[in-house]
Amino acid sequence: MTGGRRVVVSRRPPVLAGRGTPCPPGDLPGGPPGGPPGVPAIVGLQLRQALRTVGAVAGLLVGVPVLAARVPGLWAWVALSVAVQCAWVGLSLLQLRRAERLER
Amino acid sequence: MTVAVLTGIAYVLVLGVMVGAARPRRSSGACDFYVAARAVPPWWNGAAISSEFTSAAACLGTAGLIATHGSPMLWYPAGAAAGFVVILALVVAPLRRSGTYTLPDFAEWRLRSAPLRRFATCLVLAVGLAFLVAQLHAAGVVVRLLTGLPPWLGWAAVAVAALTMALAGGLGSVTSVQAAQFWLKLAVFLGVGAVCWGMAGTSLVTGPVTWLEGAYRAGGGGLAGAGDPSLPGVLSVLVACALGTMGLPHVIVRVYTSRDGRGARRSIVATQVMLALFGVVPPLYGILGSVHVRGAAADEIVLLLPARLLSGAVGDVLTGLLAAGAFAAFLATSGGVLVAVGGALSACVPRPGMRSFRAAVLAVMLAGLALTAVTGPGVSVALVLLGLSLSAATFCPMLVLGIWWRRLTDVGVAAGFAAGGGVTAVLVIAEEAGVKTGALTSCPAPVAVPVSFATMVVISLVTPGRVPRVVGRMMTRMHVPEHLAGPLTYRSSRGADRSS
Repeated sequence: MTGGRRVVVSRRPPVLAGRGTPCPPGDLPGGPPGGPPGVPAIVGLQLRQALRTVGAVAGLLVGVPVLAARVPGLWAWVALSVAVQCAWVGLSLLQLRRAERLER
Repeated sequence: MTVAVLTGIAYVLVLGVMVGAARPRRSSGACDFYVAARAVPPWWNGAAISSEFTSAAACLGTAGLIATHGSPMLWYPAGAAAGFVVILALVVAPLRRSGTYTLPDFAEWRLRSAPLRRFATCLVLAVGLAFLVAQLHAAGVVVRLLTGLPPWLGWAAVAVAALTMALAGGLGSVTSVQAAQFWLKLAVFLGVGAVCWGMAGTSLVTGPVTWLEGAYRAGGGGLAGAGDPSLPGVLSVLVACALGTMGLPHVIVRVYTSRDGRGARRSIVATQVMLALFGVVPPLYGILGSVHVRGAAADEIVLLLPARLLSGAVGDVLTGLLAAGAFAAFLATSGGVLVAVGGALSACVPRPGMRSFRAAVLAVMLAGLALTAVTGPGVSVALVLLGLSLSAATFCPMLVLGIWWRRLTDVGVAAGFAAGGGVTAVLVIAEEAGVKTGALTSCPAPVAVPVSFATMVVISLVTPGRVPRVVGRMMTRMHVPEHLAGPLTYRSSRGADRSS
């Protein structure tokens, strides 16, 4: 139409779905071109990871005070309450690392 | 002692006002005022979040409850910190990527409903006032107990300093003050605690700490279940803490001050580390207080401890330092609440701007002062728990379902707000009126949260026509990381993107 030279495309361009490869606007890994269909897959992965972390929190939050009832002794309770704080830091770091890895 | 206490308080207030007032030159627009230009680095942001979260309840109330209600209260700080892991897992990055400023903004953006925004603003006001009144009452307790002056002087001191910070430079000012004050608070409470422990530690380890044996006991709690030493009572409070933190307006506004979702996540991890450091404070003072300060009210025990262990000038200086640390806590939380609630309120007027923001901040503080004047000083933890319970029963379901479930509707959320908030109000009023319904309902969260979730889901399912048409684009914007999203799916938050 513009009078330019026609170019024959002999093969399809490579799929941009590799780890760390930037996608064109709107396209998402795991979904067809156009974007939106890829989002449920991302949401599903993120949600599974989030629920694993929340499950661990719930287990510790209920489990440690219940278990503590079997360990009478002030200093054991103090040690457990400090240990739980350290567990929250560990869980946070784990969640951060996994969430960032999922989004890479 | 009066001179040392007043000097400590004056130092913190003047420092707060000076650090806060140094910021306004850089505050040029609404974005700067509401969310500190979205440029707060994670460690700075983490210190600010920790500072406003370690309020009167964490610094004075929890240690007092450990001393007066026994070792089951040791779990309260652990429950409070657990809320941030839940935020990190479920809320923080999607909420930041939504590009909104406040919880009502998010409600309007996600569900396309202005009336819902107003409903959410009312709840933000209720939760914020519970925290603000707790700080003002605690300031009055410190002033009355340590100097003999009337409590209203303490309220006025916190009110004037917090207003100056908030009106001068919005969240930018408040962030600077909070972050600086967190380290001051940590140093003061750990330092003074270590000295007191050194004076009394040997007798504690070898002698009997009879009151603090590791065991649950039957017994009722106060307002919102605070101080219930039974196992169900403790678990109820932990649920409220873990789920309610995500809906605290002054905490969640910090998510928006980060540069992007990644920065917001790292801010929460930094908060977790700092809260773990501060988590040593309540057990330390609680154990010491249970032995050396008998018969005092919960919020007074920490303040009375140094003078009971060390007589003379050293005890006075340590008490002055604790008073300064306590006022740093009141100021940090009050400033955060003022900016967060003021920002939410001011957006409800037809033409929101800095003038309406300042008017809203002033109105919130006046309302807080009025409520403080007509209520008595109770245990600060109780008011904070009331705010956490209301937040868990309303904002927690909205945020979790709004971020992860496409079929949520505005009608469903409004019904969930009414059901969760209503159940919370009914249970609290019934408990206060003397109707005992058991330990699991003394703190309303274990009942109100499932009711609110169920209501939102059921009503949303029966109103499918009200699901926003662009929900797919919203989910993309919230969940797709910035570096993978194109210009159509992600818009970085700049300028006036309040509810785009």
